Amino acid sequence: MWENAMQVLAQKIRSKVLEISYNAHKGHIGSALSICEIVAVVASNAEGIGTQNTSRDRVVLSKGHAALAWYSALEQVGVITTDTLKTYMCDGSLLGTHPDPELEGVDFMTGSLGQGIGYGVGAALAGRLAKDERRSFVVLSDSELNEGSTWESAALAGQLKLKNLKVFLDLNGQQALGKTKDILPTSAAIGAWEMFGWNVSRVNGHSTSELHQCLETHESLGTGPLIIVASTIAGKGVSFMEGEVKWHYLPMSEDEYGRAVDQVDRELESLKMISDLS
Amino acid sequence: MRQKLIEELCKASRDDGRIVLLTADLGFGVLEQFANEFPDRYFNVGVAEQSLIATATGLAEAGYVPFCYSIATFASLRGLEFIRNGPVAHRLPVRIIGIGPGMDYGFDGLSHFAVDDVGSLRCQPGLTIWTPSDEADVSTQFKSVNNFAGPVYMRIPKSSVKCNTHRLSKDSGIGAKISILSLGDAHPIGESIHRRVAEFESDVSHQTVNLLNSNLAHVVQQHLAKTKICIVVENHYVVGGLSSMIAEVVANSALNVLVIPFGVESLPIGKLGSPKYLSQRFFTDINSVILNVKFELNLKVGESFK
Repeated sequence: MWENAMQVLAQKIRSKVLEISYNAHKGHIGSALSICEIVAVVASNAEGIGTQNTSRDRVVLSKGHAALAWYSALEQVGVITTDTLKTYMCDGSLLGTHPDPELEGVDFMTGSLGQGIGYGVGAALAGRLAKDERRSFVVLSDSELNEGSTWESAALAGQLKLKNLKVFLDLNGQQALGKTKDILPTSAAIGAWEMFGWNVSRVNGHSTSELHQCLETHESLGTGPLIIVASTIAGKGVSFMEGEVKWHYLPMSEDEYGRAVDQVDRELESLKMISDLS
Repeated sequence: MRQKLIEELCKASRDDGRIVLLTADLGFGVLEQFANEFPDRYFNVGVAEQSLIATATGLAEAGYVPFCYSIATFASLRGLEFIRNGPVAHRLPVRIIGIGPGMDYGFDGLSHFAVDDVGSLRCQPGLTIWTPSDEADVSTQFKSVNNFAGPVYMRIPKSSVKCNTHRLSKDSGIGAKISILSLGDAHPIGESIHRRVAEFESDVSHQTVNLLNSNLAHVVQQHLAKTKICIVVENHYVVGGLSSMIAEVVANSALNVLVIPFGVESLPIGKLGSPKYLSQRFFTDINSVILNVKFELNLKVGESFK
């Protein structure tokens, strides 16, 4: 039952992403839809989100351009209000295309790719120095594997054996101008993480139960930092967006929004019914 | 001077458990004291300056005070965007130690010269640039500098030349008709210029500048209230650094001051040598500066600006 509730949460986040991006007439939809299950699992697992508790878990949305998914997750778990979420892209708002560190629930500003994982390494190292239980969650885009700085941090985290560092790699195979395999095939280097001393798990990135199980297993059996290689689909949940590069940029028309939200909400109702039955 | 800095860092670390030292695989013969005394707070992140700053940002957000050690140009420029988006954007107390300002690394060549670090960093809001002039400055200023809430770039020469010049501060008072300002380690050149000018003009003063932050503009504005010529000496390109900053103050305050920059005039490649040799090849020609000053004085300084 708990597992299904997590899947429902992810679908609610997906629905919010569509609603808010349509109202703001803003793109980056495909990237956000790609990580709805990942942010649902992170938001449900991370302790102390939105508080000033020094020993809270830290969350870094390294793929900052998918911020709308994280904002929607924050609203769903009660860190920000629905009214705050609705200020997305309004003048004077703290909710822009990329996360602002002054927004509750945002520990680090991101937007320039390849920087967030380094913050996550520092946050995990801080937990080790403080000798407490805090964890550092990082959501990484596969396009960030193009950035040399990502590999600097990957090697360091492995060297330091930072078991409290948990990275979700959103492996959707797309980046701004095309497929990652056609632009710069750095996703082929997944094996390097193991060589650096990471614990590597490969899962369906749209299965909240598989994602969650990785965290659980790592807690008990892990020996180093964890990277969950989450196979995902950009634009997941909206048939005409799935795998289409253009939805990295384009906003939806009224007709497109109607069709998109219909698909997502029907899936949401279906998940809720399963939830009710169980 | 590097050793003195690490001595001060060790002293501070004995009382402050928040201090952590990160190095991008540099500091042979310098960092051992800290590494031996605080092995749990010393980390070599490898030759990875972006990771150096990003890791420090994560530590500082959690309440630690990380010091990041490297050669000045690597510490400042290689991770510049990380500095901007990390400790600057998050207003965090990351301390970036850059060894070897200007052409301090002599024979190592331009790849090792920090001739544009000040220009790149001084526009970052809330970031302080600290450029001690000698070891005495390190001893007397380290504690207060380390108390700054925001990020600090520490521009540290490899070796120390005793500085007999007063440091510019809000208590320095009004400067002379000809005011010479030297950035940190550039004070020996400033003293040479001071001697040369004093041969024909007694109303000349010389101060060193050790701190560049938001307070400096006001201090400079007060100091130059009666100045007609300000010679700015720095181990840095003549564009973007302290002389540019002084020129901004003069322009913004509508002061009637001629600013004469003295520093690295051209791309320092094609000639290798000791820092002294390189300064003769690439720095502003001191004789041309003296001629310029004499020319302006003969024109009854001030009238030329009407």
